[in-house]
Formats: sequence, structure tokens, C-alpha cells
Amino acid sequence: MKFEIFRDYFELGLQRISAALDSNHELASLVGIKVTKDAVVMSVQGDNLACQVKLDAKEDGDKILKIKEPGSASVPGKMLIDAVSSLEGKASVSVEFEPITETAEKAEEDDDEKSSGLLSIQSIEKKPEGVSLACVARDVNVKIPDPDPSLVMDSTNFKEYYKKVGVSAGKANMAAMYANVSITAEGDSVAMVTTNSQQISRSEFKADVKKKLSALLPYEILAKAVGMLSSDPKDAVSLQLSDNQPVVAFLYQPLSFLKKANGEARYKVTSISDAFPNVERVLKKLNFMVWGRINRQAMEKVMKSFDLFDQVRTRMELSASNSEIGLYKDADKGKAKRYIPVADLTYEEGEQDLEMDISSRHLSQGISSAMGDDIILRLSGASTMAKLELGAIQEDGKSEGSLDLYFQPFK
Amino acid sequence: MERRFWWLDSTDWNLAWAKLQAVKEKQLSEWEWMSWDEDDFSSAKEAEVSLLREIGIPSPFSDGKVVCCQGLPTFHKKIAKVLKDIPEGILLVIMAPFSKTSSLYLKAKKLHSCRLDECEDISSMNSRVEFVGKRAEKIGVRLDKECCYIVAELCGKSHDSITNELKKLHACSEDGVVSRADVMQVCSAEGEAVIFEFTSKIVAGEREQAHEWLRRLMLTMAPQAIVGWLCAWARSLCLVASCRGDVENTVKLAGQLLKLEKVDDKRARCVQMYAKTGRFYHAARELNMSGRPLSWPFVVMMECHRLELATRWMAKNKDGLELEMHRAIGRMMGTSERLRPIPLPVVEEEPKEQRGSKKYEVINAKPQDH
Repeated sequence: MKFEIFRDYFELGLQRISAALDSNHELASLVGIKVTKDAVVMSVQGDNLACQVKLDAKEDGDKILKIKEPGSASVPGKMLIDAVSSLEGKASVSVEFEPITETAEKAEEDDDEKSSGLLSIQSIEKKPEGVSLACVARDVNVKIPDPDPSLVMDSTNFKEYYKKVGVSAGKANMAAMYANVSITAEGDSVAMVTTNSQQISRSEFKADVKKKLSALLPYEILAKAVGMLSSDPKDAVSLQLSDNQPVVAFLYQPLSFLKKANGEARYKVTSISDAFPNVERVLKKLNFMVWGRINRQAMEKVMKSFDLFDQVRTRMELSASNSEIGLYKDADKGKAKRYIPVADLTYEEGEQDLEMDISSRHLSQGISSAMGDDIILRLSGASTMAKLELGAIQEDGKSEGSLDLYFQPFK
Repeated sequence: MERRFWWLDSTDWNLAWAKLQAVKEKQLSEWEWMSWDEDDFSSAKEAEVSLLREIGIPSPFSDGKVVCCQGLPTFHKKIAKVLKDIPEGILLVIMAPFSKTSSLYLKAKKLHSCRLDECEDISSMNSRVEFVGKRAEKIGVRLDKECCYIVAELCGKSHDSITNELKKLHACSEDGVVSRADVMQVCSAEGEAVIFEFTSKIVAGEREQAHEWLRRLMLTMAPQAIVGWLCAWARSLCLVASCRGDVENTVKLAGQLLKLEKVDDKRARCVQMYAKTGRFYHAARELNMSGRPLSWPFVVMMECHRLELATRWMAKNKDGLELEMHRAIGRMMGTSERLRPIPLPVVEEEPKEQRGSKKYEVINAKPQDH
């Protein structure tokens, strides 16, 4: 196995699969490198996440990836990444597998697939410089089918909304690993919902939906895959689901390098549990009678002065006569209070003052997830859920995508 | 439900757990149940904010919520202050040994909405013998007074170890009748009894309880000792699986293996005696009842070997080892992760510019110019 590759391109490929390496088993976590006639495929099989990157061979002009001899090898992933990054400053590197055989007799006895050797990564410009790593001549077995996506969406939007909706994923003390995100796609929009039984986050944005889709996926594991996606809006992401149980989700994204080389990154996420409350039923029951617009910066300023992140609860008072919201530092009314004006305060029925205690942590996390200048607050009563609309609102009053946060107040 | 606070004395953990399960299944099956543990938080303040939020905000998805707290939180004085404000529809359960001088205990005693379930005091020998008799009757083991005395003497003052030994006796006896000889052969020291309970949870796939037992074991036993017990358990499971769950054949096989290993006669007899009475019967029963495939013990064995290696690599890193053990039992039960994470050990990261240069040999590197 031998190929020559631009070091930066090699590093980019490794970055796209690095999150699947098990940080607790650094030595045992392997990257499989398979070299075919026209591509180099690198794979990592994690616990519930598998990643694969395919780098297409291209020799025109810059010789970004030139394949000299097909073959395969598996190398300790963390060491490979460190080794490639230690060669920083070198333009191209030559990667070669050199089997180690003690005697000719033993070489005959050794099965090809089991033979071990060294993977040497050498600078082409300055030939003597390089690194050698112990490896085995065997590929990591990761099988990800060719794409037949259910939906194709904008990478930037998907990354941003996915990250923001995670504010409600899992309880503070529970592994988000077991917190699911519900993804549904129908028509031309995708909705993602997470909850921790105290608040609900829901985001919705446009996508090219090819097949109707509804799935519960482990938030934290999918977040690892999403974190590796390119943020370039041109590199659209495709999502595909398996038909079997447990649900397996596949993410695909094209991989480009300086507009000169092509490839593809593939991720496989396996669901762990199908526990998820009936959020839609709860949201349908909510009937908001009061709404108004609050300036995000004014709200953030107040929260900063109160240092709300470490508080348990904050009292919120909506004053109908003054069109303002009073925020107390905590539920004790004797403590500091700040006022924030509420624009376009509208009551569907009679005007009334409202008072509720909400979680300080949830409020501050929610406001920091807001995307535009204004936040729309919707309330129905003191004991039912409050809603914050955090999506960026454009001049015509419509928003490109929405990010809604529902709070359950203290009783 | 009027009750808002319930303190279950976990000195008798089996009884406390049974009570909790009974409430979960019969009275509050529709409520949302969540477990809470202070160890899962990076700081005491973080834990405090989280628990106070849990007992203040009702669930939007169900009629009520039960917050089960393992161990007495360090900020129990703060809980005492808000005890009377716990709203209707929320039940805070604390499973911890009673601390009778704590303000939480004293406050809870005064309030009608609080319940305190204390377990039986077995510090004296007479009370212990009486406790063994009562618990044996509950489990379905028929013991005479002499046997009760032996069990009480062997198992010490721990409610849990007595209960576990009685369960073991029940598993070994055919009709619940146990003789003095059976007691002498089956009952063992406290550490082993707890391991017995722990492995039962692994076989049954009760994730939460298995992780909880491991956490409790780690408080009292060295990780190496736990791994040693787990390996012994895995070996007996594998032997049983090799004989397709047949105990008689397993015992014969164990005897043959001992001969092959050239163990001296005296030791072989001891092991066989032990094997006949408890170990393989229990392993076979566990395996057959669990419905797991016969290949499963070998998966367990592989995990145990990995753990054995881990104990050598990480001999001084107890936190790291505990995490490894949680991950291993998670994999044994069919999941890759444990239910609740423990805080990871803090590792100081090496500065980025130094990476690579130290670890890997540069082939024929040119000498640096000075």
C-alpha cells in the first residue's frame, strides 16, 4: 500500500473522522486506511458512531492524491493524527505500508491479513523526514451504504439549529447520550425537538425533503457527527435512515479541498433508546393569550447583572399597565429588580398582570441561544408553559427558520 | 398523593428498594420517575441548583414526578429549608442511612407530608437472629434456629449481606429446606455476597441497579478485588455455558479442568465442594433465567480480560478505572455506555506545540542548526 498526498488534505480527512475515536481507548481505537485504484478510504468504528472519509485520487496539476499501490492498513487513530500534525509545514507526504517479517519462512506462514508492519509517513520534499507507526495490514470493517437520502439540507442551518436545540437535550446530570432528538421532515421543512422534562426546544427550518421522515436519534452521538460537518453552505448534508430496528441514521457530505480535490464524508449513528415523551400532545394543548416583543440585548444585560446562571429561580412579572416585564434576581421579592419594556404587548382577552417563577439557568441558556434582535414572549397563565420565540425575525416579520423554547414554570 | 418527601433508610438496601419498586408499580406508575445523584455533578453548587429545580418544576408530560436521590446530599440543610414548599405532584425520595441529628431528619419528623422509613436495628445478636428468621420466611427459605444463628454469625451486621446469603441459599435449595451443612458451604463473607447481588443485576440487565451496586462496591473494595471476583464469576458462567446450562456436567467439567491444571488433590476437593453447592448452581440459574444466549458468558469473559488489563495500566488511577468498569459492565449488558456518567478525571493537557515531537521518532532527522 502506497500513496502520495497533500498533507493538509490528509489532515482534513482525518479531522472529519476524528470524533469517532474513543478517547478512553486511545491505543485501541484504530483508523482503517484502504487504498483502491482511484481513492483512499479512511474509516473509524466507534461505539455508536462510525465514520468514513473517501478521498478521490487526482493527479492533475498539483498531484493532490496519487495512488501508487493499493492495499490496506489499520493504525492507532490518535497516534496517526498526532503524527500527521507533527509534519506541519510539509507540502506533500508519502504514506507507505512496510510489512515486518522476521524470516522468509515466517513470511510464508503469515496470513496477509494478519501481518503487521510499519506505516511510514514521509515528507516528499525533504525525504528523510517522517514518522513511522506500528500497524496491521487489515482494514477497519465499516460498511455505510451509498446515499439514497430522505432529505438534503443546508449544512450551516443544520449545524446551527442542531446546536441550539440541544439546550434542552438531557438533564444536567444525565448523559446526553441517552437524550434523544426527534427529527421529523415533511413537505419542505424539518423540525427538531429535544426535551428534559422541564423545558422543550423546537427548531424548524427549510430542507429538500425527498421522503417523509420521522426518527428518534441519540442527541450527543449525532452531535459528534454534526460537529465534524463542514460549515460551508455549499456543502449540503444528506440524511438517510435505515428501515430496521434500532434505527441507524446516515449522514453524507461532499468533501472538497481548495476546489481541487473531491471526496465524501459518511457518518453512521445508531440509536440507543426510543424513550421520548409525547411532546406534540403537550404543545397542542397550549393556548397562548398574551404576547409581546422584548429586546434581546436588554434582556441579556439584565441577566448578566443578575448572574442568573447560578441561581435556582427567577421571578418574572408582566405588568399590563406599564407594558414591561420585571425580573427579580430570585423568587424573593425583596431582592434586586430590573424592568425591560415589552413592545406590541397584546392580550387576546382582558388585560391582566401575570407573575411566574422560571428556572434562571433555563432562561439564561435560552436567551443566549437567540438569533435575532428581538425575542417574542408568549404566555397563557402563571402555571402553564411560557414560550420564547428565539429565531431571527426579518424586516417583513417572517423568519427563515424558527427556534422556540418552552419553559415549565415552578409550581 | 399527599406525601412530598420520603426518606428510606438504605441500611437495608434490598428492603428499601423493594418498597420503592412497590410504590412505582402499584401507586405511582403513571408518574415520571427520575434518579438523581450528587456524584454526577462537577460541583456542590451545580448539584444543589439542579435538585432544587427538580423538586420545584413539575413535569409537563405526566401527573407527577418522583425524584429518587441516592445518598444524602451534602446540602441537606438547604433541602430542609424548602421541605415544606415541595409542591403537590412532586415526591422527593432519599435513599440513605438515617442521620438522626441532621436538620433534614428533624424537620421531616415534624411535617405531615414527610415519611421516614427506618429499618430494623440488628446490632445485637438476638435481634440479628430474629431478623434472619423473618427475612428467610419472606424469601422462602426454611431455616431452624441454629441455622439462623449461623447465618447471623457468618454474615455480620449488614442487612444486605444477610439478605443476599439467604437468596443464595434459596437458589441452591430445591424446596426451600436448608440444612446446617448447606449454610456452612454456601454462606460466605460479606464482600462475596455483595458481588453476588451485583452480578445478578448484570445478568438481569438491570442497568441502573448494576451501576449503582458497582458504585457502592467501589466505596468499600479495591477495584482489583472487584475485577478478580468478576473474572471468577465469568469463568463459572463460561463453564456452565460450555455444558449448555447443565450443572452436573459443569461440576464434572470443572473437576476435569482442575486435573488438567494439575492442581493438588486437596485444593481440587475444596474447589469441587464449593462448586457443587453454590457457584455453578447459581451461575446456571442466572443464565437460564436471563434468557441470554449461551455465547453471552464469553462476551463477559472478554470484557473481564479487558478489565484485568486495565487494572494493570491504570493501577493508580481509581477514577479512570471506575469509568472503565462502568463502561465494561455497560457493554456486558448490551449497551455501550453507562446510564449516568461519573465525572471524568481531570487530565492536564499537553501544550499543542509539543505534541508529536516527543512521542514519535523522526527518522534520520537532520541535526538542528544552532
